[in-house]
Amino acid sequence: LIPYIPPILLCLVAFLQLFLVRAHDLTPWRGGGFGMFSTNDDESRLIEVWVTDAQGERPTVVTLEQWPTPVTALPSETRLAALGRRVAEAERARGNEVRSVRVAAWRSEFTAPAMRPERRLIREVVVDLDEHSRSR
Amino acid sequence: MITLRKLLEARAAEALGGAWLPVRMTAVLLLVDGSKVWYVWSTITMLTCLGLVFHSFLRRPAFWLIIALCIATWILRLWPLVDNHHYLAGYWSLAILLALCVPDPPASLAVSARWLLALVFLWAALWKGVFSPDFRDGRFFTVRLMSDDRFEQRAVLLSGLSLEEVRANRAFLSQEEQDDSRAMTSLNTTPRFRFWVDVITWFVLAFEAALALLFLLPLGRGDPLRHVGLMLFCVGTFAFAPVWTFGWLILLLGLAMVPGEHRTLRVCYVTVWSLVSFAAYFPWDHITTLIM
Repeated sequence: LIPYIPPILLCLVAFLQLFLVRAHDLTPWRGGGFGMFSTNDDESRLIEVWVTDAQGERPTVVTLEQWPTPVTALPSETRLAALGRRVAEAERARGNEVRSVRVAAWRSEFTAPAMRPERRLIREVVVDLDEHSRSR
Repeated sequence: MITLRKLLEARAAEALGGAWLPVRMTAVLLLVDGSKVWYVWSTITMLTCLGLVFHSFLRRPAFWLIIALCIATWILRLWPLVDNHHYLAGYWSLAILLALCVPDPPASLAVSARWLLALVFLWAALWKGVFSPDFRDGRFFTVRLMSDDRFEQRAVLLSGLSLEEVRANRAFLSQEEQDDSRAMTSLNTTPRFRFWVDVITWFVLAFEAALALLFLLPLGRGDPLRHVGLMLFCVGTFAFAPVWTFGWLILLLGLAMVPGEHRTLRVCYVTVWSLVSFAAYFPWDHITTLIM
């Protein structure tokens, strides 16, 4: 049985990766499932963030410290909400009012034959001031 | 029961037989394939240097235990961004550790290597052929060849388009803002390019599925069909794909399956191993430009 331990471990990780791809939109390129070079849906996804204050909603620029690349590779509800909270903290530190933060993750899809890139929403999370978040 | 003494004890080189060569080559691979986590990289570099200078380190289970733990730390620290072949390097280090703890290390490593190769190719083929519709219909290679600047010259060669046209395609695919007068409504391709995309798509999928089958079938350890297939795949793929260390790793796994007495096959593996690293640094783009 001993020589089979590494292959069994590979299978367990690969099944976990497949679950994360299907349930939490992990890019197939990552996570140990050997899905690299199989799809255009790699970790170069687009993340957009909007901040809501008394004047309404406005887009905001996210700094590298607030936006680690694993968010694009695995834009789960938890990770997007964490990014939203970091943005809210940064806005407040600059003295700006923040009522809520909306974070959206998009993937690019290419439709044959034109291959024009089209954005598809993966997940959107709204982080309210009272720390409750909801996803769409 | 694995005791501390057994973990620290070096196995005799003779006990490893034909597996001793791939074990040493694994140390070379780990030395050149650095981690982005500084403390993992430092530890692996220090250990592999020690192992390559003082070979007895490479025959101690404790050495591979630390290596496997380093790779696990690396994967967890950067999860999920670590490349797939680093997972495979972790499984392989674990396989070496386990093999050094059993009475017949070469047989143990051969079993681990065979099943790791079978599963790597099986999962890769499943992702391409079953789980990813944009691979089967050619969209993946169309976009990848036209949008990745590392494949720029190859896109020129395969499509017959000019370098400027390929770059305009890249801008179109990456959604860069374009001058309205030059705005493109669709990707500029040629029948020749579409033909080559279909060839590459189905060739890669068929080759990976065939290799998965060959390693799953109960053929002999030295069966030339699976070894020649693996070497051809590595030459054809990793000379061009920007992940030649993955090629090195799967060649190591193939070599670990070859019994010690199959000298010709072992020489072939070492030759292909060298060729892959040579081809990875060969200035293909420069040669393509000269041909064009």
